[in-house]
Amino acid sequence: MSTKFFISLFDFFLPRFCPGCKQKLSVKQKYICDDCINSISLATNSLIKIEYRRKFLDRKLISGFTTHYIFENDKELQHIIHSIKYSNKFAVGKRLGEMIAEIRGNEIKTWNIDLIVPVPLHHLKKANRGYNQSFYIAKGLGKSLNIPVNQSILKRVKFTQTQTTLTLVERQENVGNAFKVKKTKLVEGKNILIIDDVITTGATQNECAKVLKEDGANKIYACATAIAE
Amino acid sequence: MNDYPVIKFTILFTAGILLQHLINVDILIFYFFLISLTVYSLIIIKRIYKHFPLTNQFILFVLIILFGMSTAILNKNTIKELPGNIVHKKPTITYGKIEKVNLIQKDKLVFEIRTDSIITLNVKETRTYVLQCTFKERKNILLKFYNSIYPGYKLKITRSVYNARDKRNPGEFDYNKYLRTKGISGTININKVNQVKITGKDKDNFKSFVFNIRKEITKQIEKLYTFQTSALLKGLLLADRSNISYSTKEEFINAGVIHVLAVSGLHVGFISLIVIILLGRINLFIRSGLTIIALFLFLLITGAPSSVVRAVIMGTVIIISFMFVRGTNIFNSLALAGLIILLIKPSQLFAPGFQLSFSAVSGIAFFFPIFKGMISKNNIKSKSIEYILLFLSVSLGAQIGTLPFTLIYFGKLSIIALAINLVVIPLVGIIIATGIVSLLLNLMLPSIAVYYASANEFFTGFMFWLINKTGNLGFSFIRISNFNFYDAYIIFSFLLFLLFIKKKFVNIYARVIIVCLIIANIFLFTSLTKYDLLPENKLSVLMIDVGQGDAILIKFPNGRTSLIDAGIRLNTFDIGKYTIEPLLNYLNIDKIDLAFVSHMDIDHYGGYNYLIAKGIINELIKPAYDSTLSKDVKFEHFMDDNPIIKSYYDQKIIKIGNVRVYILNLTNNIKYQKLSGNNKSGIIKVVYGNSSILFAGDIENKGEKYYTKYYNDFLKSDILKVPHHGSKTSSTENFINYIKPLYSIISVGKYNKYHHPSISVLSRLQRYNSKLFRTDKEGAILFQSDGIKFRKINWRD
Repeated sequence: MSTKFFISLFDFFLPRFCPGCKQKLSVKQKYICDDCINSISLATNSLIKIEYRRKFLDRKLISGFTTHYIFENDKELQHIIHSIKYSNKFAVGKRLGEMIAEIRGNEIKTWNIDLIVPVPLHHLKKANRGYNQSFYIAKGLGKSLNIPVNQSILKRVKFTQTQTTLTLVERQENVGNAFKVKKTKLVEGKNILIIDDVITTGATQNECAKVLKEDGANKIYACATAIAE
Repeated sequence: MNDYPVIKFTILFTAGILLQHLINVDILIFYFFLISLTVYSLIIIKRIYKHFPLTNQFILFVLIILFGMSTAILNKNTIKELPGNIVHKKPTITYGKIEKVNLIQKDKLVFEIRTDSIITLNVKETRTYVLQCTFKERKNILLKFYNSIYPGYKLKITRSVYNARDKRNPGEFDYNKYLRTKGISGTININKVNQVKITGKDKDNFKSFVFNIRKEITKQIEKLYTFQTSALLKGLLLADRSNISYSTKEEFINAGVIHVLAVSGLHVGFISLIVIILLGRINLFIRSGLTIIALFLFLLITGAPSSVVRAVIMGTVIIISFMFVRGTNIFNSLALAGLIILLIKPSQLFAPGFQLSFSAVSGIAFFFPIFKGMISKNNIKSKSIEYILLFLSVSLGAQIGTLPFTLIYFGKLSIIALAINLVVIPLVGIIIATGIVSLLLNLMLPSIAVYYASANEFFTGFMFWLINKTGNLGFSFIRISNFNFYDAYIIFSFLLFLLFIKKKFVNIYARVIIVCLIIANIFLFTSLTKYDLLPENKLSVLMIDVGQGDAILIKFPNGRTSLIDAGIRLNTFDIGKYTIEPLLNYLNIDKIDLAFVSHMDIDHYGGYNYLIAKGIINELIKPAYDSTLSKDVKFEHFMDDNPIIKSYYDQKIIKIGNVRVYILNLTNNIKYQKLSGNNKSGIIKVVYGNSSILFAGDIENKGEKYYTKYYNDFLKSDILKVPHHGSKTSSTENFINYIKPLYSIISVGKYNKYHHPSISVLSRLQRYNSKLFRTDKEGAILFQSDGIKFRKINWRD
């Protein structure tokens, strides 16, 4: 009773809103309202298989891939992800991570992951935003699955321009040599899961996997809250 | 707004405080009402709720309003008044603890003490009061004392205790009431170091810590900067504006930039930025927590004026909503800040600082989005012009928001404000930032800090230069006097109405007509609330309270004005500048048509120097030139240097409309010429229809004898300005008998050293059944005549 009371008192002074539909949240709801959660399209197993083949199979860097949702423009999920990235709602990312764990947790467990690594932001961008949104998604996932998360293993050394409007080839060029492994010792022989908010072409994940493998990682897997077709 | 319940809550809560302020309910009645209402509502909810679900909400509304009222009742001003038997007694010894020490000023030190006991001749007052002490001494002595005291120290002060100056004249600032809102009951003036002794050294650690920080920052500022710049920086960083002069503040008001002197959101923004830059790599939560701590530290250092409290709470709310992923908007944080401040101190609602700060932010929050929409509709090509327009609209929003309060408190509408703010606001931002950086650097690399300081010196110099030039322009502001809260209410309701109906009229002509109609309505309605203290068609005589001295303002039925004497001028205080000019501004009088100097004593002609130099006096009549008197020589020269018509007293009648002004002096008479200076005072009788008033300057018994002999019954008047402040050398039995005044008015200073007025004169006037009014008792005295008889008017309403 008491926590509920405090939450509703807190809501009185600083109400919470669903980032998807901008409606006020009730005491029971956490970060995202149920309507929005139910209306996001889920990624089916067959779709994941097809996308894995399209995006990762060629380069043979990533051994497995999973995702939860399908990213569609101007739908709830876009608003939610934008709120994480641009309106300081980092904790929503944590919630998304937990939601991935609920559905895809068993699948991820079969991969025997030792370490979760979020795709890093360039430090200037991080200073501007205040945090790395993928880290909070990773945190939510890692906490639910009891796997350690480390955000200081990878470093983005190249300040790349925003990728949202680029094609696959441009993206690959854009992120080429963008990453560096900072703590090689922690990587050696480990199974690593790379976390990102949305996977579009897979170029970023492939690039991360490349540097991780060069520094002795065993197997690399990729996971994101959503996949864009 | 529906999503943010706090906004509604705060509005209702504020309404409750206002309601209590207006109707002032007694606490017992209030609680009786509250309990019965609770019982009723319980019954109603049970029975009627099913049929009328709205009753529930209504009861909630009423309850919140009542909550506001009860907060106001519980926090009712409990500042005790000093009992009359300890005020202005000699000797008085006060024992107390230092409560707060202000930063030292150029020539004085102000601190507050909480008294243990106040002991006068045969009274011992042991109730606790907070007194404000002002210590004036030579600089090095003052500095030594300043460095030896801390909050918590016990003092013994051997000086009289006074009540602070209240509202003495129409439109004047009530300093006593202002001190009361700060919890201060009275004042002590100390002028020698041996009048104050430290008797105990128990430091109040927390307060001393804050005091030390303030002192240290001041020391650093003064080390780096010149006097002018450090005065400004102390105002901007420590919210201590005491070193910024009266005329500089006046210029800031004229230019419409006085708001930059209030520490507020800009500072909070800078401090957050500095913490974020310094701690960029630390965990988000720790960083946010440290930012909040830094903001609260800043709040302590500035002494928590309401603009800072507002800004700090709003900043904290934003940080907390960020940390806990909650939504907030500017209105919500503003409402929260308001609620917190008013819960702690409901009386803040009536403090100018609170009103200006909150109205400015709500003005920005409300109008900026509207202006922004207009700007983006127009598709401006150049980015820089768009930014300038956006910046101007922030400034305009704040100006519209604060408009009613600036008009009420300053009586001026600055026309150039928008343009000047465009330069001054960014400049102040730069000055604050450079100031903070230079102070931080001075701790580590003093040699580099000097460069920052000299750059800042340049910015400040430029800003002062700009404001000085523009603030003194003739057209920089319009004077709007007598603006009151009703006018503000009228203007705002029409503005809201305009915004509301704007969408319904698309046609441009229809819009223009609507706007014209609304403006006409505003003029009509505000003119209805205008109340003219000195109306036309009446003869008004206002005896201004100038302390010890004389100054009487006359407004004739045809609107012309006259001033008899203008009070004193000392090195430290000029009645002309600080009392008469503001009063004339308040009464909308630009020029005195005919002025009189009764005689050449400093407490009668002193204030004229300033008024003549300002071009306020058109014509002046004075006693015959006395070349043996050096002050007369000086005054004559001074008048010759200024464009003013000058003449000397001589028996004559001046007609001003239906009013006759008789000057009774018989300058050519040999006996008259032998009289002393006081006895040669201008004797002026003003007659309007059946009513008359006699101004007798400072004449004494010889003069009185002389005039009664010559004029006999012609002296008879309804009102007598009692000669020489009621001195026992004047107002002889014979004189009073000829005048037979219905009313006697005395201009005299409170606790004056001459012990005016004399008891014998007072009892003599009483014997003649003359009703007595004194400026030391009631402040300014106003009489008005419609040509039949004089009536006393209470100007305080």
